[in-house]
Amino acid sequence: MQIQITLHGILRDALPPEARGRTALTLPAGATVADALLALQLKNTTTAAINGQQVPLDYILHDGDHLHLFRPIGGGR
Amino acid sequence: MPYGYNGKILHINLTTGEMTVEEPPESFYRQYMGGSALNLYYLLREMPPGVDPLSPGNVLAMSVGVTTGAPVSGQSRLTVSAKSPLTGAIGDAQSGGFFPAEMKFAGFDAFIIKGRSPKPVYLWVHDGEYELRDASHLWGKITGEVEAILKEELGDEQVEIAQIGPAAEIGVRFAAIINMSNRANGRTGMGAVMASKNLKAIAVRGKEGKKNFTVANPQALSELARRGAKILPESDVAGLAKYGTAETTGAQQAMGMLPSYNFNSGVFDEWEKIDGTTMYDTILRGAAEGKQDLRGRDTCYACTIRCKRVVEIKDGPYQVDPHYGGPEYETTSTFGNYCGVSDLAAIAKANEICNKYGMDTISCGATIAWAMECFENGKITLEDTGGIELRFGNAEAMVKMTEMIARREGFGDVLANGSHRAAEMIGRGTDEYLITSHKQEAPAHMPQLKRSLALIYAVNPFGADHQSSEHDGAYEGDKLSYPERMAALGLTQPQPKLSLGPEKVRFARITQYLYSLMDSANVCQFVYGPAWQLYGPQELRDMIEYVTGWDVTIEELLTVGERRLNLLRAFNAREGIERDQDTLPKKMFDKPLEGGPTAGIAVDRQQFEAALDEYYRQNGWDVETGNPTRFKLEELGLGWVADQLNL
Repeated sequence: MQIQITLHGILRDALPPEARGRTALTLPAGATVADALLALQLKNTTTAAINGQQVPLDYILHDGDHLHLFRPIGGGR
Repeated sequence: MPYGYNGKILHINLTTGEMTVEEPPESFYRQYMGGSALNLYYLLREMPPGVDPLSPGNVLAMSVGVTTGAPVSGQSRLTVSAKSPLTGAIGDAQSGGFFPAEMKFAGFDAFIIKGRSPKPVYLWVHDGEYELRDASHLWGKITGEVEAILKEELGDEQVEIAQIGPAAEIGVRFAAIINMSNRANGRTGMGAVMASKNLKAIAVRGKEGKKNFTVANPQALSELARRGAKILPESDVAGLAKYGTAETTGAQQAMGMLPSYNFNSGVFDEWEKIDGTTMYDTILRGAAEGKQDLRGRDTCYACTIRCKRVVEIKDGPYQVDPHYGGPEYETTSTFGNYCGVSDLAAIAKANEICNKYGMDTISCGATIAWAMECFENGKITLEDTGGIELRFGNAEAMVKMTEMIARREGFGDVLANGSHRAAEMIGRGTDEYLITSHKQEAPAHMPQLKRSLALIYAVNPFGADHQSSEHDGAYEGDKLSYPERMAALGLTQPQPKLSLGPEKVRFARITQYLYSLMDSANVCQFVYGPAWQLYGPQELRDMIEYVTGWDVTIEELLTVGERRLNLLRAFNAREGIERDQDTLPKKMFDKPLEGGPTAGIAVDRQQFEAALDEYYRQNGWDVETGNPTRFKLEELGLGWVADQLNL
């Protein structure tokens, strides 16, 4: 299955600048958010969200999902 | 000199020109620490209730904290407090920069300013000396000009200057106090109060004070500072450092939490054009040569993070002078997504105007966004605006209106009162579109989607504020990002999204005490905090001990924060401001969000009212009035405040 990825903020630095934080991943059926983070070599403290909802590391991804990844955000920023 | 602070407070009577130095005991500093707790101690004692905020009877208090000036990140902060001309309640605003540390080195922990000078003056404080000087030649000038003139006049480029701009002089109610021409004590109109006293600027310099500044445990403090620099690249403030506060724009958009079109939506389709990464790539000084990390990032005294932006635009309709810094997330939001504007250069221009003329970017941008929604709905017309099409998305109109507010020209004269008063002046149902709490415009975080923040926006004594508690995301989900930091505050039971039960209220209240302490000890909330910040509550405690030598506990620090909160609430209680004003704008209850993943969501009124009861109970306050009780005040060593309230 294929999922779309958008890396926000400093996480975009994990990709070449011209990608502007956007990429796609092909993962086996049953792959989780943790698998996507591993593929992108990102820490498992990264916040993941799909359609505006935060999803846990063991969330099973579905073909066509658009996964947004960012560092924890909080007040004042 | 005690470790970390001077033990000296300068009292200035501008009516008579008399100045006296007070030397409070150590116990006073340990109880109040600085910032707004210290400020409120004087405001409550030296100002009767009912004073006109723009009259000589108002007291303007400016304080640093017991750790300001220490060689560690996040300590150079200044808090200004007075009765607010924007809200009619207590006013309170923080800033960073180099001014706070230099003020400490100049010999004083606070300036308590009363009366009104018969002519414009500035206060010059250097190495324990102080004098009032004529400022007639500075009146009417923008911040950058005043800074240049004073540095020349005083013969020292290292002088730091906190000043008002022309907007304050002509009574813009959300006028700021600006230092370095780009750092603002922005909120609640403290600049307008300073202007009403004919005080144009405060210049400080402390050559000897800096040399003689000592801390209790320099070795441990140095180790803490080094550790901060070491962990920064892998920490959750690494993005803040490189891309500034506007780094968060994309994440807010992804979660449907980017307040857009005057809070009618949580998404802005053109968000990427105004994101912090785009700012870094395009308009940060040095971007063309790839040297923006060197030339486009500024900092506060001794801070390793360097999150401040320096924007330079040399071409096009919106040219921007880097002397005036660059926009924060709050500013890209209020002038950007609030207004439906995606022209980053226009936003940077509006930011520059605010820093030149001395205005709060949050209230200014949000007031324009409110006027835009009124215009879109026919409540404000071309006749009102003088022919300006004040529609969402009109960048040119947004910049023009910012200039008109700064000069109180045309319709800008109405908007200069802030949106709450402007709605009262205009009528025609324009209050339906307000996004104010306690008459202050909401910053760029959405109560609809953060329910503990909804509570804090409503109960915060100086109006809607995003830096008075940690936000909900830090205490939601199956797995906390920072469980140890939360546990240090006794917060171990994360709550579901959109909940506002007793435990979420407790989270709001305890983190409010922590943030309240941080605005008293006067430290930066990007460096110390309960979650994503560089250091957690334990390091904050450690830092205060290393600087002052006090063996404080986290519990004692939370009590300082609780004391400050009670002082703020007591000030408002004296003014007759009670529970009925602890609410949110009605559109946040009644108008569900439109578009994106958060469409259809509004604040639940029943949930909110129940949480208010719970919040007052947990604070030990009167649930009917929302006011502090004698029992609570005496517990905090504030029996004298209970006497003032006739409890």
